Amino acid sequence: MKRLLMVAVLMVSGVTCAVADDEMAEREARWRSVATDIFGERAIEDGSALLKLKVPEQAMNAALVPISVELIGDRPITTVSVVIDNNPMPLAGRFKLGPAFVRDDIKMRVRVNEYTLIHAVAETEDGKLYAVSHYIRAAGGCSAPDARASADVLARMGKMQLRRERSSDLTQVPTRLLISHPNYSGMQQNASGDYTPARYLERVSVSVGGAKVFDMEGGISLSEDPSIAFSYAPKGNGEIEVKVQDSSAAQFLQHFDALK
Amino acid sequence: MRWQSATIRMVVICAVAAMPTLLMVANARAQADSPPEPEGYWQGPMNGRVPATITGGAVIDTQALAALLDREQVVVIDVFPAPRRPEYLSSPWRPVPHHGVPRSVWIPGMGSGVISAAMTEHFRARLSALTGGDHDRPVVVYCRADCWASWNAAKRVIAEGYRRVFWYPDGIEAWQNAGLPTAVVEPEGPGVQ
Repeated sequence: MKRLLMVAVLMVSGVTCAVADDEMAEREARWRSVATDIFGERAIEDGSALLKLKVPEQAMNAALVPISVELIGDRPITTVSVVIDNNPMPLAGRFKLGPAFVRDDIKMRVRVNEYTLIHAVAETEDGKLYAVSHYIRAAGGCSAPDARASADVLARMGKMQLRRERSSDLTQVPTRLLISHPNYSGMQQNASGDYTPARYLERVSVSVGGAKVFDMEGGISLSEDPSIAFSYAPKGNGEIEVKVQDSSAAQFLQHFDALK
Repeated sequence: MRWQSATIRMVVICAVAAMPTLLMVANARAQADSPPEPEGYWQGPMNGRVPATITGGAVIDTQALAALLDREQVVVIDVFPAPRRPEYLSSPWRPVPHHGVPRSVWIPGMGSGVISAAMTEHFRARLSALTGGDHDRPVVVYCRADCWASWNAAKRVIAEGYRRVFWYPDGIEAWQNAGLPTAVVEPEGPGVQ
């Protein structure tokens, strides 16, 4: 009887299951090809002892998906990359971590163009790569039009805000950096149906008192008005410097006083 | 026994695979408060809640679409936005092959609020060729879920005088979630870079 029941379950669900298996193989193949493009022919091991990736199962807005990468354990990590496998430009952000970076969460908002795996990849000091992944059901994030009026976008481009939490632990300052920039993907249409050319954050460098917190390489997968959360350890005079360069070679520089 | 553990594994996979179906049921319920049809073409953001109806055409669901494709010579138009390569690239460009409902003709940009004269000319000519000039040939228009582009594009096909226009608002996600086969399609028309 039990066997009969199982056969029945198999018959009913057989089609879906075959697709599920195919889909798994397809996701794996896609990841291997994207990973080779970004990291070369290097082995990538399971990273669950180093990283925890938090991604919503389903996003309310595919153009603004909040994700977080938590660095766990104590193996020294030099670089953290976020890859959105099925986005046309899969590398969303690559963070080269500096001496003033404090091991904590890195949070950002990204665009998701279609159902996809998102990978977080850590490179350790000995040059090895470790990855974790998460699947997300969201679509249309790269072509969603800019939410604001274009005159406003241009006037505010490159303006930054730094929101710091005052915690009792002065050796670690939880921080959120907000950069006013449309981060045009090139796939967004304006009101007359024309495509706005891509213009995205290529590099974001943050340092404190002359010590590097991180250098980040961006891409079209970052949401408009990119937001990056991290923690830093105050160094030197404690003054923060943020340098941003976009893909049109525009540069933006802003300083923030030491946290008092 | 080995077959048993394999069966259990498959049942688990199927339970996970069934989740989107449950989500779709939730979606169908949410449609009770869908926005009304706009007067002309929708000019707002392409992502978002869409109407439950399309004047002059019919809304079709996944099962009915699968049945229609089996039964008749159908013209299927996909208006999913196509990737556009930035002029300057700081990391690899790897657009994923686009999967559509089998037999789809992919015309990215056909569903924008405003379309160029070149786009109008292109879709008119393609519709005429694909239907063989038969205005009673079924034409299905879709993109993904919660996508106004397919609503606008279906409305454009209706405005061309086609009498059996089907709008498939659940889109490619619903098709894939139902376990139905897809085909890789290439984009065409002036919306292609």
